[in-house]
Amino acid sequence: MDKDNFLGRWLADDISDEEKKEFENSDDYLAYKDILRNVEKFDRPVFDVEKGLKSQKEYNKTFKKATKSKVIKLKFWLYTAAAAVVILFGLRTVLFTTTEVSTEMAETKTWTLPENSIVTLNADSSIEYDKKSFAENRIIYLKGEAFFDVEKGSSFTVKTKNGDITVLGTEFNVYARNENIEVHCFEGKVQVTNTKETVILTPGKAIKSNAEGTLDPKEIKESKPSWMQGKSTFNQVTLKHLIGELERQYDIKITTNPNVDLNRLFSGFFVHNDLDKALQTCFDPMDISYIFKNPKNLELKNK
Amino acid sequence: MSENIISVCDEKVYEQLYREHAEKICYYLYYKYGDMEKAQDIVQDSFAKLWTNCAKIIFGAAKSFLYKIANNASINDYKHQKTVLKFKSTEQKTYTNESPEFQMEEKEFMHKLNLAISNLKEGQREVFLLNRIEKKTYKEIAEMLDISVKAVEKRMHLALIILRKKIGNV
Repeated sequence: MDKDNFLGRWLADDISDEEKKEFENSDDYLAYKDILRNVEKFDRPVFDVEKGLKSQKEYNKTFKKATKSKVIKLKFWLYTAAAAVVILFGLRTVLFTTTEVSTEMAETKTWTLPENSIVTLNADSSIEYDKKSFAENRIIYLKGEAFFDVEKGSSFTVKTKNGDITVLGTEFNVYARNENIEVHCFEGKVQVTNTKETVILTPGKAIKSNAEGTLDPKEIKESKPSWMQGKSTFNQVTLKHLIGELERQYDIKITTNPNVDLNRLFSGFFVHNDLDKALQTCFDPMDISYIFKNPKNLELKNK
Repeated sequence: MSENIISVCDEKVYEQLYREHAEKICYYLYYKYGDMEKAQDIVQDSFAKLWTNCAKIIFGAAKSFLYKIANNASINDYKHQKTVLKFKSTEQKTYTNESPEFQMEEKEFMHKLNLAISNLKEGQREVFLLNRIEKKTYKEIAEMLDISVKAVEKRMHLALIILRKKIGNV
């Protein structure tokens, strides 16, 4: 009886007369009949169609209907937006391929340019170049101070607001802050051009702009800028210049008492890893005292 | 030409669809879960979906759309819940010539039957009650649940055997 879904077929009246007869004579038959008879006694909750329809209509009002025309509109806007994004990105890659690298106060960074030239940025400096045209003209814009190790090849130009430096493969340092420009040539040949003149530097030579805007020649002994070895070296720089460098290297603010002459000249160096030592080496020989107002602020005063 | 197409967005058409299917779907869900409130919620959501998508659904496909949504909703929302059926017994007969003992026995039987139905598997219960209470043919049930007639037959068979075992010989 359990075979072939017999009860299922029986309920659907899908059995032969013989099967039926046999089943009706069995004890099970009455038991099953009893169950079926009683199942029908169960009631079900009422579903009021009209009431349901009414509340359904109210419920539907809280939804926005997605009509066909709306779907097309949305698609249209989507395509427009997508196209705009694509165009903007396209324009961006065509027009703005500039790469900018910058350093914060008290930070140095080494950056490899396309064609493997290496730039080391001193604190609070930035370089900017166009990725696309760099391969052709090798022009790089500099604010602040950086050391360049240029791979041999076509001319390489560093543009600063105070003058341009053009080189063939070489190593050189450029300092261009405020109105000053200072270029040290460590290897190869470097040409420096500002509004007044053009100077060609050979290894061991340097130039430094003076107050008149012309370029004064200088001799150097190091093979790398001193700041790359963790110190800043100065030869006949103003106190103002020195303070600016200290602020950059240590990310501090230095104020000066009016009795301090900012145009005094300084020669010497300070280290980058010990502020107290640096301050001592800078200011003790000049008879200037310094007071910390807080760890980031200090004031200078004549002793 | 478009005038010849029956649009589900047409209020009259929508109302007609509701009157034709809402109750059936509701009872089907009720037999499945034993919870009228849930069943009604799902019905409402299904018809709301039909309404918001009316422009995309052709009239002929509305019914299967509704059942599909109802089935999905049920699965999403109530998959993890084990529901207990609460069937009301029909009103007591106002007159009776049956003995109190018989009445007691019958009450006990109904209670056992109720429990046994509650404990049936979801698939068996919905098929069994649709057939026995709603008087739906196997074919109609098969269409509703999107299963074969043979599967309906099998569920009926198993449901009855299980009920018989649970209740025993009274």
